[in-house]
Amino acid sequence: MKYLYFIFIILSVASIFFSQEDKHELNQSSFSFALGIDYEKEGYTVSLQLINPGEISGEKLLNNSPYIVYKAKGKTIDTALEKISMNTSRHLDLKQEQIIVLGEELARKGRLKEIVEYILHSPDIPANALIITTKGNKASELLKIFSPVEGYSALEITNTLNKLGRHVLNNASEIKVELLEDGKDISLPYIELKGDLQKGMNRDNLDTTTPAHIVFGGFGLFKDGTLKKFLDYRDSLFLQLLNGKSSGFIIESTCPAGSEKFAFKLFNGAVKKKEFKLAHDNYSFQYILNLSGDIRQYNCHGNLKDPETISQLETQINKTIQSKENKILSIAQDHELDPFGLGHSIKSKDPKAWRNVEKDWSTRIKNARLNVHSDITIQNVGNYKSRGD
Amino acid sequence: MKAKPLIGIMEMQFVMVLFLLGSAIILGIGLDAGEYSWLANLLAGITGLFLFNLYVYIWNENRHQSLNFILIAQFGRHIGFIISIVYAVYFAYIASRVLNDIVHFINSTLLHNMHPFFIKFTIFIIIIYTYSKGLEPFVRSAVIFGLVTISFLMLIPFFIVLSGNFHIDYILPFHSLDVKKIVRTVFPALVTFPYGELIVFLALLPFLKEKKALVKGGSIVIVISAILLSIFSFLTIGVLHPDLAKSYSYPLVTTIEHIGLIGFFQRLDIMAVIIFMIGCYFKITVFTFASIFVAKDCTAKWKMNHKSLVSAIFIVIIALSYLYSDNNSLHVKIGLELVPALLHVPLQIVVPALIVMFTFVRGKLA
Amino acid sequence: MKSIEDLSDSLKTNIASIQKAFHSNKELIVRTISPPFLEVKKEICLVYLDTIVDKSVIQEHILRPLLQMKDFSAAHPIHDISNTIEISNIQVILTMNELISHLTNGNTIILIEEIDQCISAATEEWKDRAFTFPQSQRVLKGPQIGFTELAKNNLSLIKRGLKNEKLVIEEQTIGAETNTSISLLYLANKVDHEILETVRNKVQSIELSSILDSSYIEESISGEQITSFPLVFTTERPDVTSGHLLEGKIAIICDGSPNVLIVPALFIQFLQSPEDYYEKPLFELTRLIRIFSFIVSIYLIPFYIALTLFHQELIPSELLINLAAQRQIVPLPVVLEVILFMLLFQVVLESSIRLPTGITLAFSIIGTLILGQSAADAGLVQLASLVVVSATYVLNFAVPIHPFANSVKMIRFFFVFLASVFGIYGIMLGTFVLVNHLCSLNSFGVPYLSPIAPLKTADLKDTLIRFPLKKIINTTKKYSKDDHIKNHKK
Repeated sequence: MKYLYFIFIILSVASIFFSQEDKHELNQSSFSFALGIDYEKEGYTVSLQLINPGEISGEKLLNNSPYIVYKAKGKTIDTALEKISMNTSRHLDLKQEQIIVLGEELARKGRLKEIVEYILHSPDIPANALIITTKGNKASELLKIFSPVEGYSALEITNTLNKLGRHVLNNASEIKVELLEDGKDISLPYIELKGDLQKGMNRDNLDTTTPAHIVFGGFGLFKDGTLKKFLDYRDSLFLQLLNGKSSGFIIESTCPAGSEKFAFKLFNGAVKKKEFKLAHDNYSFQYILNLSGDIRQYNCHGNLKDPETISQLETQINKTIQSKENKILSIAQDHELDPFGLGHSIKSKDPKAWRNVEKDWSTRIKNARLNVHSDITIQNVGNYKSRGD
Repeated sequence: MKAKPLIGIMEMQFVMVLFLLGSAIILGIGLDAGEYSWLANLLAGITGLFLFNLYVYIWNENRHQSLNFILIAQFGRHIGFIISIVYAVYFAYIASRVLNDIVHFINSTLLHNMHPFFIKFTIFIIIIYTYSKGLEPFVRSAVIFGLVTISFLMLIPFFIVLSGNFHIDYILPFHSLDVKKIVRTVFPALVTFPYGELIVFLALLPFLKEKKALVKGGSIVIVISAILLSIFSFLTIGVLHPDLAKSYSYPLVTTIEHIGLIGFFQRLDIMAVIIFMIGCYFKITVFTFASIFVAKDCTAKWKMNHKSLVSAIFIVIIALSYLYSDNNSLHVKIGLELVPALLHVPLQIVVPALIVMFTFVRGKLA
Repeated sequence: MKSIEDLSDSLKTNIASIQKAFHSNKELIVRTISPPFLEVKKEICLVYLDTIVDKSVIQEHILRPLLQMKDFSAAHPIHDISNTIEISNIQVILTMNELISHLTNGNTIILIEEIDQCISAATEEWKDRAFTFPQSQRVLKGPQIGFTELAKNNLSLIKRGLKNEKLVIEEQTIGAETNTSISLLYLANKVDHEILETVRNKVQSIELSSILDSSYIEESISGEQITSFPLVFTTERPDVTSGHLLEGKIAIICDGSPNVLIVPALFIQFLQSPEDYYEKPLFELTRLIRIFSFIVSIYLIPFYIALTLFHQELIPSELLINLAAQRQIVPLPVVLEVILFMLLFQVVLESSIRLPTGITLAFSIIGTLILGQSAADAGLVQLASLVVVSATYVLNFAVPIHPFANSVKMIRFFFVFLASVFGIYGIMLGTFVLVNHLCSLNSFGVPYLSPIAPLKTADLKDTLIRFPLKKIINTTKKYSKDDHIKNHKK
């Protein structure tokens, strides 16, 4: 009995000497919350945003930057990371990674798949890290921007994106799933810079009232892991509406009479039914949505107390959604994309038919038509019911 | 050896729950059946229920004796003795395999750089400690660890569903039922692990106090375990997708890694780690106890030194754990392909079936 | 060594040998009288110890009647004197040994010339303090009286709460030097006789020459199980004692100690407070909170170390940034820092108990506030470590029974060591050992973790949450006995 304790203590003490690598004091490791990957011929440029905790939490030792971005090239991501690690005095901790930013060029060259595989395989990068892409700038540049609101850009980007709702965003395994599945093309959120890049990379950016900052731009549409087209954020929201993943946003419509506008704030949107009909070579897709929301700004002339007006408004919103969705579809058709997953709905309803069209679906989608019908519940028309005069 | 009854049925049930769920739930069994893995798990549960009742039937027919006694009574002294030794080594081997499971697991989730030697030996010393305290405290501790495990298992599904990572569209709509695929998943892998491994309890059952309650109590445990395994495979598939789930080493850990709870706890996979460690600890210890009991019964007539026998078994376990376990892939490959065919099926199904046949024939002759 | 000789019939020899036995102690008063009204002149001698007798009783009820005594026959002198003195409790004594023990117990010995017997009259008066509220187990609601050092008072307090003819008191004297009286109390109809027999044997086989407090007995009867957990329940409260007796347990009262021992003791009972029964049932979650805080007080520091050293990914990122920021300026590794402060806290606790009450306030300000705060300000220690360590001790105070709260002191250090070497894996290993250890313990044949492990569903009504009294009081608890260990011992 006693020698058991003895052996145990010897073993554990011995293990201290043999494996130091697992143990890191908090001041021996530096944490990164955002990882950027950019295109490089035959490899990658990896940029790692290492944060300076003292600066961010306000316990200043030296007046240094809240975070440092290290950049290194490598044929694999790991060699690049190793190079970064060689350049820093501390142990790199990637386990806190919250977002992986892919540079636009990398996405356009179709390297998304490799990255996703890498993240799935990596023991360090957590499975729930979000993957986004950039528009206009390199990932490494965007990571260098000083964030005026949250203190460090990784958190700012994450919070900006999280506001959209969890369902809209994608982590590595979800992207992998969409890559595997037929009949749906991936769409990933992208970020872009508002303001001057040079100004944003300067610390003065923190001291001005009009800083350069990172914004959520919308969704980038991918085809087989290659970035094809950026949608602006309003279009993106309508795109996500048909995927059943949208949360509160404003739909502006024209009044039943006249050209004035009114705003409808959408709270909940769900796809109730998806159907498709094949007539000759024309695919027509019928979506029935369940929407609920409020009437906000109201410039029209109808009396809101009148149920008749409400139903007229509903028709108008319906029309807006229908036209918006068809606009997105036509954009997609131009680029031979299927971000709605129309092919997928064929596959699940009629696998036989799907097998016939699978190969040339990207061209056949040009014959697709969307027919969106929304069942709208207006929960609240406001405390003051505009009579419209 | 005449066993003193020590164990209450409740504690035995908890040991069985931990034995069945602990490692199986983390290793994500039956995920090969894709979106029908929940069905495969239920099917395996039913088969397991049948197997368990078969074991209990054998035990009841042989006057509630220990495994060694049953084998000698049915196969004669010499063949019975050899089969008993085979069982002792088999249990030791499974113990060593689970030991390797946990070492690989700890190395890949918690301590990436720790030398496996230290992990293997530290947990092994804990097992020796447990053995030195005796069967009774070990079985009792199952209640406490069982309550922890079950409460975690109750919480995790809620977290998964609430976190919004569960995609019902990964599973629905059900395509045509691929019966072949399900059956291939269930037999033999899913039936033998974890349900068939219940044969190890034949070595522990003589210590049970309430002998009559076993059939009902054990069956309840198997039903609950099968349902839980089924729920968890359903959730895992829903989070990770049918095509991807099977390619993870520890699907449940990855599943839970996706959960972010109330914005504060980013990672809950520590829960899975705790469940797995508890499960493995119980499995190794149960197998070690069983192996030692069988070996002790076998050598009873030679009056072997008790201590040296026990030490021998421990050395066998640690030695076997170095057999074909250089890397996890080889370990898993052997576990999925060779072990079920060569060890599990003969020792978990064929031998018990033979015993039942013999008992039947003898009953007819008498 | 005391002589075992019989009394002689010579008064002088007897007195001489008594004086010899007491080494001519000044305290030993020998008063020789010859009652004036007697026809036959007889010398009668009163012997007592000055400090422990009630002198007015001797004067009023022994001396005066003796001096006024008229009838005295040589035939049965003992009988006559017994009828004369006005003391309720008298005894006839034959041996020197007995005589001395009666003297030391405060009795007055009446020796008569030419008779080899004597009379012992109970005249003892022990100095005692007044009843106060129990110092270590205070409650807001419920009886506020606590035991004192005098066993007689304690017995009376218990009997007041438990007016039952089945309450048996077995008294015995142990300890060759101190002659301490020990009483076993139990309810004859509820007690388990096997356990009673074990307890009796263990108490009788105590081989200590001196017993100054009940904790001496506690240690002697706890047996050879090596553990830091108390296997005997101690209480200062009569209501708790009565409650346990009604559950079929055995109380051991040691004269000279306000702490009554109760066996067998269960793990869960150390986390129960008498207040649980005085508050509303079911919705009163204090018992759960106590259990929770006890468990957390073991695991908080180890988890803090494991998370900050090994598994930083498990810490929420905002918190991690703060922790890392604090860590930048601290010299010591987190493990040393925590161990240092654990020791320091232990010392602060220890000294604050010992110090005179006047200084305690000043000390607690210097010891805790100034020391802790300025250590953090001076950059010697990380604030988070300080918070974690002090939270541990605060949580630990939620345990109602003090010795039990102390029992995890060492275990905590053990866990800290494991966590610093193996992280969470080490904590799990420690947990396996701890739970196994707890499961292997038994208190006088009853498993320590009962009724949880082994599980007794019937007894669970009064374990984690107290059910309504109607459900728990009128049904007796069935503690499962540990056959295995008992057989093993034999």
